[in-house]
Amino acid sequence: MNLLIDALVDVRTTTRLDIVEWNRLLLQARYHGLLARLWLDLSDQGLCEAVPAAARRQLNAARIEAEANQTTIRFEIDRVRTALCGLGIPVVLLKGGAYLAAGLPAARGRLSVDLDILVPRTSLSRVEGALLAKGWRIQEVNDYDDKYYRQWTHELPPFWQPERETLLDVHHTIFPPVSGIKIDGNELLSSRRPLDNGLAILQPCDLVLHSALHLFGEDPSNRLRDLVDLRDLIQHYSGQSPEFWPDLVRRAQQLRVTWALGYAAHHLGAIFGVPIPPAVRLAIVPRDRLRQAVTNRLIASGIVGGLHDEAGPWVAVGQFLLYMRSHWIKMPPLLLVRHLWVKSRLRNGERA
Amino acid sequence: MRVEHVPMATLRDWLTGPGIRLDLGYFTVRLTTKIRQFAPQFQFMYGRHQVIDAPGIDDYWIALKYPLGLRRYFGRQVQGYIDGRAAFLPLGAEAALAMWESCLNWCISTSGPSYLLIHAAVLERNGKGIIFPGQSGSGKSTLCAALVASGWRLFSDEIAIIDPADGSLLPVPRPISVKNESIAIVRRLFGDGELSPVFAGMPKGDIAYLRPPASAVARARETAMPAFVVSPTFVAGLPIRSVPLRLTEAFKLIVDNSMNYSGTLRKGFDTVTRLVESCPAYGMSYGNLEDAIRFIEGLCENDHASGPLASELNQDYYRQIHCAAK
Repeated sequence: MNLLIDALVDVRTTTRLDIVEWNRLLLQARYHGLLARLWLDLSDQGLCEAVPAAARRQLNAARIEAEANQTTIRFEIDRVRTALCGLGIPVVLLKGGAYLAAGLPAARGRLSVDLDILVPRTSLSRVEGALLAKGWRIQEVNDYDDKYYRQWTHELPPFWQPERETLLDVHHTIFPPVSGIKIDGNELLSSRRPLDNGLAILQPCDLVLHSALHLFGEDPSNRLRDLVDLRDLIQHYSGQSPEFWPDLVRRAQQLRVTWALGYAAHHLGAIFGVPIPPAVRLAIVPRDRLRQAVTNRLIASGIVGGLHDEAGPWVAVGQFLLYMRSHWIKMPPLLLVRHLWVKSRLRNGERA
Repeated sequence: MRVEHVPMATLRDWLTGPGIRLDLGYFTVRLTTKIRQFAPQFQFMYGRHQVIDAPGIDDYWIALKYPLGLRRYFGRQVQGYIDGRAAFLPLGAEAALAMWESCLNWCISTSGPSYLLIHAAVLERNGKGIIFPGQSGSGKSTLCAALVASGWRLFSDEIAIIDPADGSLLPVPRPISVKNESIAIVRRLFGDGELSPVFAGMPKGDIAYLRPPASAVARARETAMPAFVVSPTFVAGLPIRSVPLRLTEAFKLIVDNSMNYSGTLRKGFDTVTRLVESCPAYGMSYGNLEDAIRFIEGLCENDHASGPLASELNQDYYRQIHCAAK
């Protein structure tokens, strides 16, 4: 049914496709930002020659684009390192930047629009000062948004590098504390894994949990790509150590985010057929099974569907519910009502 | 089969069903829409383009839809979707053609690293291609329309596409977008028969589209080598002046106006280098279109800027006219 999922599970399924199906597959891959990844999977299996010529052109162009994007991100990582190395504080790369800098398989063909870093909360103003001194600008946001970022989220307003036209997000933890899910940034920083260049990445369990929190707690625009990230990370680390899964469960319990790990395990199993150890399944059984089942249906359609015309109106409704859900998780009810009210007024004001 | 030969009922069936696959020379785009006003405007503007009957690989899928939500029931709007993702803020449904043109511009300008893409108008005569780099608002579309009226072949009023393999220019003949005061000028040049309705109150003001000439569309696969780069600046009332650009200035002009220079890596650098080394580049400020056309035609006949124009070499001049324009 979904050609892209089939290809991501086993890229050899593409050898059976006719030209109409190839066209469909490429559209799905463009929508989900996974063209370059698809091409790398094909070339790993030596299947590039079997791809129709017009499709090959498109896939190869995406591969070059991803390479250029990664060159940009690498350069940006180096600039951030230079700007912040004098502060004597730990600087941890998050998400795409981390996968790239650490050479993890999740970086394969992955496009990033921005770079994310984690720094100690107490150093935020020094980091801000150092970045501004090195040519970054705080992206113009209105007073409300500025307050929204600084007071209620886990990051500063985005930094913009006007000469290189790149974005940098500075975080002090990996989930908005106002949600009630309070993850101590220092706890994450103290167990970081240093890289050769003086920067660091999160320890393996935290890396996976951050990816899961992002996908299942916020409302990302590339849900399927994020699930591919999760699969790559888990396959990589569980292949390295048999202790990885038990460690992951323990860490999730410690940070009190087993719910996010539960979603991750469910959808990795359901969508990609990733084997989840029975002990893990037992450890992450949700308290409210019915609610979980309903939410899982919603999330699954959000991950796989979304491509409008094949989806129909219900997927659009589902996407809207997911958007609301992400706000519901991130903000307490009264604050949420106020936030949506102010946002809708600002939006109307901007239009008029 | 040409779009103009498809019966309107069939065209509507295709657009509301599987879509039509439009041949844009170096791009194939699938288009779907249920917006009724769109089909006749599209058939007029793209009548000379080919519909591809056979199934194949699309570079993009553009869908024009009524947006979700209650807005669809009063004051109908159009939302463009590129490969399934919403693009741009919705416009009034009567401006579906403008939404389609914006989506198509976006598609071509983000089409990746296979070609070097420059924000520029491109025209050709006698095998000589001229690149007019400039951001929107620089007057290049009006100049482009005027050159088309004097017999130049339209490549594009928006995007120069250069093949890094041999440095040649690839045509994408499409409607020329004319804005605000230029609409009256273009109407004088072509009459009413070649223009779309005027869409008022668009993000950049009033906008109308000029139908691309049949000959330009028919030759959509004939490339040309670039001969000159001319950076135009329209300043009302100013006499025409021009200045040759040094290699480094020309290089920076191209890179500043390129949409994907950094993404094309080494190939992009080599392509820009070859372009500026093989094509003389000029800054040109002008106050009326006739002067500009005379200058450009003189350039092509003599292979360099002639007479008093070239002698006005002044290093600060180029910067001055750009400041004056702002």
